[in-house]
Amino acid sequence: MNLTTDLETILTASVPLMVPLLFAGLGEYVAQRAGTFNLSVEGMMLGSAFAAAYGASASGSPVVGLLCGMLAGLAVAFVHGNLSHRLQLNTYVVGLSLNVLVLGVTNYLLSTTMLDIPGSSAWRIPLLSDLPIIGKAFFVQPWVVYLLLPLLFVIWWVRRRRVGLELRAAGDDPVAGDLTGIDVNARRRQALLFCGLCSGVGGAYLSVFQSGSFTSGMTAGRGYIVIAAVIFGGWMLRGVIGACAVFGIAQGLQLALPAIGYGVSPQLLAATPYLLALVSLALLGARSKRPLALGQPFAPAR
Amino acid sequence: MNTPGASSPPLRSPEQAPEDPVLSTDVSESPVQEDATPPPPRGGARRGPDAAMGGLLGSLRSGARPATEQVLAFLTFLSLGIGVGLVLGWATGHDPGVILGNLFEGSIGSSISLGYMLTAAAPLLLVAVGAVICMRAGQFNIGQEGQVTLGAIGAGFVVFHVDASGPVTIVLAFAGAALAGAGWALLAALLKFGRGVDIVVSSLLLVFLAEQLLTALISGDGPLHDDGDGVLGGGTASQSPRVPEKAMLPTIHILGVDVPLAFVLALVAAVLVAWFLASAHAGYRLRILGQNPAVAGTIGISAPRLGSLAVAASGAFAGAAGAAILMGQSFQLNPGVSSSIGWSGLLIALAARTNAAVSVLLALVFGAMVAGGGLLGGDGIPVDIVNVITAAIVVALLCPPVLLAAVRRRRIRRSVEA
Repeated sequence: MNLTTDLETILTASVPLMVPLLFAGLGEYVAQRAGTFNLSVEGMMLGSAFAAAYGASASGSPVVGLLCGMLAGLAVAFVHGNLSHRLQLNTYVVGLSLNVLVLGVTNYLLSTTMLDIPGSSAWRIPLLSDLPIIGKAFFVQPWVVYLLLPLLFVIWWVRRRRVGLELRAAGDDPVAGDLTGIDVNARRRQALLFCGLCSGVGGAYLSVFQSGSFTSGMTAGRGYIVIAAVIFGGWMLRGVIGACAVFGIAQGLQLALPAIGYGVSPQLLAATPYLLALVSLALLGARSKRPLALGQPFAPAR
Repeated sequence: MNTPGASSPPLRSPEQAPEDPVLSTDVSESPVQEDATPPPPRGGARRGPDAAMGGLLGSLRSGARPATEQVLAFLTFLSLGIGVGLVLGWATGHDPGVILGNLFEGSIGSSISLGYMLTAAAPLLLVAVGAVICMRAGQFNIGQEGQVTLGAIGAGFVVFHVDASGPVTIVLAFAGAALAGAGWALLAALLKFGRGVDIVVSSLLLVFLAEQLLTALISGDGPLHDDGDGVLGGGTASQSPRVPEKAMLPTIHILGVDVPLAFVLALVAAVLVAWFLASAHAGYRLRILGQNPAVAGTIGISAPRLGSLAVAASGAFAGAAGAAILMGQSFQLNPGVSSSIGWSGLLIALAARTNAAVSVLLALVFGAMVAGGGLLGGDGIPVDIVNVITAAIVVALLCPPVLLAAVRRRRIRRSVEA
């Protein structure tokens, strides 16, 4: 055992675990910047994981599965957005009940359907995949993973455009945003839909591309890890990416460390995301870049 | 409620100045806040989080309406929620009549099923009653699931490590559970009043820490791990020993039904809390804090002190629910021992719009779903349909005040246009 192979083992175990966190995390980042504390990201991921598995096994094509997953994520986001940012129902209650609802629906449907998910081969990026340590981990992955690059570019680009500013206004100061003519609730619904789309890709990756199966409650709290990642990332784009990477490695270490021959409490590793998020909140306190109107309903006065 | 300037520093009465150095640290006075640039004095930013939370909770409370209209709306939307679940069953080829029949049979069909229903309803009601307290105080603690877990841990330490007679063990276990739950909830309150961390976020994150804490305690070298003298799977599996018979919660025979002790406790708690919030002086102060933090500040109610107390109380009730689960249902600690009862209890309180009496009713409905769901498997219907039904009920029950407000707005607009 030497350091190089150990690092490679850890990275190869971690990267596939980072991917769903990154997709959903980028979506959740956009939703939270628009001021909606989206608890239903767990439901979005779980619902889309099932829909993707179902679509892929019914059509025999992973692409159809991915599209079904994105649709399911959009559907959960649509319900959430309309209930909490049109009808103004309490967003936390809506989010939590949607998670319960999706868990119930997927478990129910799972017991009435047989799934046979087609395999999808990994893309091997020439040259780059031969790099030591990182080559195998980053450049031999299913093609879906590389969708992260255009997604990142879109978010980075939109941040500086009018839409991005309007989204942030909806999250930071809805009253002023409303006065300047922004439809705050519409922006929040759109941000949620975007989050649903991204979480949909993350969920589809989990079931169709990573594990090739769907099991009951397979997201196993990843949605909440994503929320912790947005918090630990300080509501900043690079912070969220870093947090997803760290949390992915924490999950990967749970698999890799026993293989390398180290014994670290798996519970401690599993608790890392929440511990880090709590500690960073406690240290930063009121100085964090938390959107000022995060989680607060907005009813235009007219 | 949403008056601008609601977060201006509250006037303090002299008697409550320096009591507790941690709890009385007002967010607006902490040194961290002084270095930071002051928030821009505009619109939404001007409102403090408490005022906004009051508005958020206000949207949950029903307006003043005739009682019959409220009852009718409640029953209509309750049936609507159940209907959604039945439609799912029907769409997948199961007879809604059979589903309903099983749910009734398994919950109120016989005295034995009644006992099951009450056993399932007890921890749900305990959690919901606690959630009612903190929601009324304007503290949006959503970490009940973790507080239930801590309660189960606290009760576990007493049950497995204290050598005492049955009744003493049970009383001590409930006390330990309430303490553990309250302590876990207080962590979130400390973060809120000491560091200005949103209590929604901190209590949520603590749920998942509690989960890992429990797993660590019941596996490997953990102090609650079953070393092999338990009944099943001793040694390797992550679980505690079985609860000894003396510590299993007894039932009380009332009118031919074996009513579990935990349900009696939960019902008493619900009645006491309903009375406390409606009539007691402290309950009145608590409601002021929840509805209008600015007024609460001016009349000398300390938000950190009363708010933390309310959060701790809700944690204590959730903890007691954990004890009820361990000694009345699961009889063993395992990684999923709280089995979403904390989440369900929270949703009950919110769907009941923080009304203790309605919570009792809803806890019974949810308990009926759990108990009745057990029978569904016999007819080949997946039990998970009850989760769909309960979630649909929660969303449906949130709708009446919102729809009413929409109707009212439309009426006003029409009268203006006319």
